[in-house]
This record gives sequence, C-alpha cells and structure tokens, in this order.
Amino acid sequence: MAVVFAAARRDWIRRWRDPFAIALWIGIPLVIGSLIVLATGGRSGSNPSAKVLVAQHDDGFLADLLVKALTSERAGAIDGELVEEAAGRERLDAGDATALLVIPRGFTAAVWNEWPTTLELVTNPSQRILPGIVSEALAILSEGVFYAQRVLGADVRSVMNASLSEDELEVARAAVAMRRDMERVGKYVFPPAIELKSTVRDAPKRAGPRSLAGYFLPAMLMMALLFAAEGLADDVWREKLSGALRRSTATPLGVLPSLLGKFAAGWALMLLISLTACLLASAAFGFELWRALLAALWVSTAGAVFLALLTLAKLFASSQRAAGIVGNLVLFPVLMLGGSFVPFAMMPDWLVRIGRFTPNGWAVTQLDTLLFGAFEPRELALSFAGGFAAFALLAWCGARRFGGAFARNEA
Amino acid sequence: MIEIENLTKRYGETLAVDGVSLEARPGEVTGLLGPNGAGKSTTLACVSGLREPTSGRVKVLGHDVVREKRLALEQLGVVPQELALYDDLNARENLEYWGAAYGLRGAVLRNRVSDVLEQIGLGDRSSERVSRFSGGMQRRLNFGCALVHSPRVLLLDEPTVGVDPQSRVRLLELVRSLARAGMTVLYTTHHMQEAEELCDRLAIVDHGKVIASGTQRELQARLGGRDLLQLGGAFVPEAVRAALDSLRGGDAQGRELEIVSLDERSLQISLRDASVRLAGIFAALTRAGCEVRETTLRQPSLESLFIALTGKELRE
Repeated sequence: MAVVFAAARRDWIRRWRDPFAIALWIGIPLVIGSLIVLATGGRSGSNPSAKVLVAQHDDGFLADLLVKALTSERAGAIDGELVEEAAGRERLDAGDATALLVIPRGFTAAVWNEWPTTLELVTNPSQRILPGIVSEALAILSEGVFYAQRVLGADVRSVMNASLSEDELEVARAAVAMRRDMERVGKYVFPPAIELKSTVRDAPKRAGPRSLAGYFLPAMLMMALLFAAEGLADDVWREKLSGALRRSTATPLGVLPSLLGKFAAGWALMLLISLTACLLASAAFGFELWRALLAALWVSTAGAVFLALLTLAKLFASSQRAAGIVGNLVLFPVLMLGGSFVPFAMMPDWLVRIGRFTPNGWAVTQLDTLLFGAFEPRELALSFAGGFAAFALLAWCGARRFGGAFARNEA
Repeated sequence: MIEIENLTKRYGETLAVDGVSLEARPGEVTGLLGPNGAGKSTTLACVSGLREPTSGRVKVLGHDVVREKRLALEQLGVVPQELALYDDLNARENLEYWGAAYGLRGAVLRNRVSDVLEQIGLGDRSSERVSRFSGGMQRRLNFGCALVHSPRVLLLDEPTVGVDPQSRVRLLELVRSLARAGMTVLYTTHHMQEAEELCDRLAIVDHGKVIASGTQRELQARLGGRDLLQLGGAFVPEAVRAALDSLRGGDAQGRELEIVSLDERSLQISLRDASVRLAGIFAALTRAGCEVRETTLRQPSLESLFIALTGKELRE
C-alpha cells in the first residue's frame, strides 16, 4: 500500500508539473458548454423567459384577467409587467423586452357583447424564438377568453343589463344559470389533469428548477473528466518509453503498485476537478452541499472507471501514436452518444435510449439525478458498487497487460 | 552472489541465450562481454526478473528469481541500458520514488537519497528537473536510482552508452568502489577497454553462449601469449592453408600458428612472436599467389582473444 501511495504521489506531482494539460481538460468542456449556453440564450440564472410589457387601457374583468395571467408567477416562460404604453414602446425599442401587449379601452365590453376588438402585440425584431412563445401563449389565452364568452356571455350580458336596471331577481337568476353552465362545461374546460397528484414515495426532495446551464452541467462535467481520463491514460506509454516501466519490473512488488498509483493519482485529480465544479455549481444553482459532495464523488469514480478503460485500450495499442488514435476512437463516440456533447434532455428519444446504454451515458444520468433529481440512496449505492466492480475488473486486466507483454516490449 | 546455471531463453524460433552458466561473486565486478545481440541483455533480463528463463536457474543471494522473486529482487539494483527516469520529476523525487518502491520510508529514505545524490555528484542539482539535465547527468541519476535502496547485488546493462568521458570515469570509479565495499556487480558491455579496466572476471558471450570465462589473466593465458595477425587483400584459401602448413614444419613454434579465419579477402592468424615471423609469412603467401594489401598486428589482449575465439571483432 505504501508503494501505491508513493506511486500516486509521484504521478500527482508529475500531473501538476503540466498545468497546461489540466487547464485544457477543464477548459475544453467549459468553452464548449459556455458556447452552447450562449448560443441558446446565454442566460444562466433561470430558463429563458419572454419579457412581456402590458399596456392596459381597459379596466374590465377580462382585461384584468389577461393581465393577471401574464404577470402571474405561474406564467412559466412569460414574465409580464404592467407599464404605460409610451414607456413600454420605449423599452421595446431599446431591446429591453420581448413584446408589448396593448389592451384597448372597451376590450371587456366588446368581448362580452361580441363586438369586434383587437389586442395589439408588438414584438422585438432582434429576438426570434421568444416572440413566438408570447404570440402562441396569447393565442391560447384569446381562445380561452373566446370560449368563456361563448359559454357565459349571455349570462354575463344579462347580469350587466340587470345591474343597469337594478333588478336583483334577474341577477340571481343569471348567477344560477352561470353556475349551471360552469358545472356543465367544467369537466371539459377544467380537466382533472390540472389536479396533479404526486405518486413519488416518501416525497423525496428534489432540487429546484433547472436552467439551460443546469442541463449542460452534468454533461460538461463528465466531458471534462473523460478528456482528463484520456490524457491520463496516455501515461502508460510515457512510462514505457521513459524506461521507468522496465525498472519497475525489477522491483520486489513489480509494476502493479505503479499502475494503481497512476489510477489513484488520476482519481484524486478528477475528484479535485469535480469537487471544484460541483461546489461552484452548488452556489450557482442553489442545490444542497451534500448533493455537490456526492456528485463529485460519483463523477470522479466514473472518471476513474473511464481511466481504467482507456488505459486498458491503450495498453493494447502498438505504439504511442496508435494509442492516441485508440483513445479518440473510444472517447468521441461515447461522448456523442452518451449525452456529453448534447444533454439527453435535448436529444431525440430514440438516441437517448441508445445513449443511456453507453457507460458515460449511465454515469451522466446518475449524475443528473444526483444534482437535480430525486435522491435514491439504494440506487446510488448500487451505482457505486457497479462502478467499483467495473474499475476492479478493468484494473486487473490492465495490470496483467502492463506488467506482461507491454512491459517486455512485446506489445 | 549471482549463480546462473545452464540458462536458456528462447523467443519462438530464436535462441537468445543458450545454456549460459556463470557466477558473479561478492566484492568483484564480473563482466559480460560480447557484441550487440550476443544475449547479454537477455541474460540480465532473466536475472532481474523481467523475463522468465525457458530453462535453467538463476539465483540471487541464494534466492531463485522465479520461485522467490520478491526475495531475490529486494537485494538487487538494476541499471538498465536505456534511461529509466521520470524526466518531469527532479533528481531527489526520482530517487525518493525508487527508494520507496523498495520499501524505504521517512528519514531513512531521505538520508539515503541525500547520500546517493552526493555519490553521483548531483547534490547541488537535486531540485532541478531531470529534463534539464545533460545526458551524462541523467546517466548518473539512472545509476543512482539503482543504489538508493543499498542493494547487495548490482546489475549494470551497458551503463556508459552515450556518456561523456568525465561522467564515464565517475561512473566506473563508483562501480569499483561499490565492489570494493563488498557488492556483487554484474556488468555488461561491448567495450573491450572498459571491460579490461573494470572487470575482475569476464564471461565472453557470443550467439547466446559463454565462449570463455575467467579472470583477465586466465583469459589472456588462453591465447598463450600469441599475437593476432590480421591481413587484408586477395587470398586463395586452399593455397593459403597449404602455404601456412608448410611454415609450421612440425616444430614447436610452428604448432603455435593457427588460422582464425580465412576467406578470399581477409586472413587472421593467431601466432607467437608474430613480428619476427612476418617476413616468412608474407613470402609464403606471395608464393601461394596471394596479394597482401593491409596488415594489422595485435598484441595479446581481450580483443585478440575475442577475435581468436569468434573470428570477428566486437561491433560497436
């Protein structure tokens, strides 16, 4: 064990003598991730949302309803704000909003009385996707208002008329009619699906809502560790070409401690990278510290498995150059398929089904669950056990090759 | 002590080591001398546990290197032919790692590393990265890595290849002093002069076999004080044999003239008192229709013995 520690210390020192390589391993996924996030909106705090300014010139019931619908916290991708029309137009010209909705005077009365009326939506020409979302959302709201008018219009009109004539009996009759209509159409207009019942056992705590950067975080972190694993796996060839491997064969414990030391140093380095990334992410996305720590432990363990896998692959290469090609041949397909270049959430379902069967796809899925999903201790324990078993098998095969034909120049 | 008994190593159809037997004793430098490809490094690889013998037995301090590998290797220091260093570590870190690989720890390791750094003359460069060292300094550190755990047996596989003269002298001095201190040293080289300077005992190896072994004096005695005469030109082999047979003439001096090698362009003869017999040999060859264009006369030495035994010179 002491020799393994000495070998790990040796490689740990060696790794830090080449900080450029470490920066590259971390930097490539960071750059790719940042570019993707910027290209898809560039917001890091929350989901991309459409800022809709609402100029309300009508104080009727339906106008109020529309404004509340747009400014409610439940408006999802739409962030509504009530403004004066002139100020709204200025802000839109300045690119400070996605759209300006103008609700004209007499809108409510016009709707109830089936008079023609127009909602004016002015959109920001510099944005392409978000105005579409706003337009679609308003179309749905307009349809809702239309159907409300069709179902309740006659009753409302009679209430309005009754209110004008101050005939209380007529108001009561209209209210009863409205209630009857509501009950009749209720099962279609307010479907029971709205009443979502959670079936998750013990109601495990989930992390908060995720931003676009949050979707990319597990994929980018795994990619960084895969790049690191690929670079670290090359070291068996450097060891061989430096002659140190042959000297190791003449030591009492042979080459095994040296290889295990490489894995240990690699794992420690990957743990450091992932711990830093997860703690930063914890601060940025607001998930709990224990999630960050467990995620770092998991992802570095997965990285160590990849290190053992790539090392084994490179031990069978005929030269250092061939080992580089072998590494890339293993790395890039699993990166593409396993949700490291593009998160599973953004991939087509059929590709996701394939991708989840790749080793890094599995690792990314577990990481994603650890960071943002429901925490299942049993599942996590099984994942760790699987990871350790895979590592042990790969390391055993690697050690046989490393101390055998590879060390004797028979590769 | 190293005991090699009837060691054979085969790679497929190739027989790299063919029944080598030799012994290296404590307090002596035993040289394994032979041309490149003679089987020296393979023999050393079998002693150091890198390769398993096809047959035969190797013991280090009484421990079989196959059956008791760990015990055998604990007392063994190996200086490989190629540099075996981590060039992104400094000299001290390299020595510390190799010391730890042999089980040294803490203050013992640190003190031993400091001692070795002084021994190899790198005490003032210990914190410098190996990649910045000259070739000679790297060779010295390569040597030091094999000493850090204070082995009782040292294997050196052509350790002076590519070394500047100053470092070479220092390395050879160090090997001598280690042997004087009681270490068993097995040293392979294809430098005749180096073997003559350094080794107490020698085994001359060619085509995987030990063709002669003993102390330098014993080996030179095998030449019987004879010189080696090397001639170049145009020769008719049958006529040369007849001419030289006539020179022997049945007397005692004549019996000590022996053809080492002969073809149409070269002739090597082992003989006593060559300088006084040159005129007679030239006359006989001329009469036999041969033409001599080059002449080299070598005094009794390891090289002349090697040539006498193998019919060829050591190749660089």
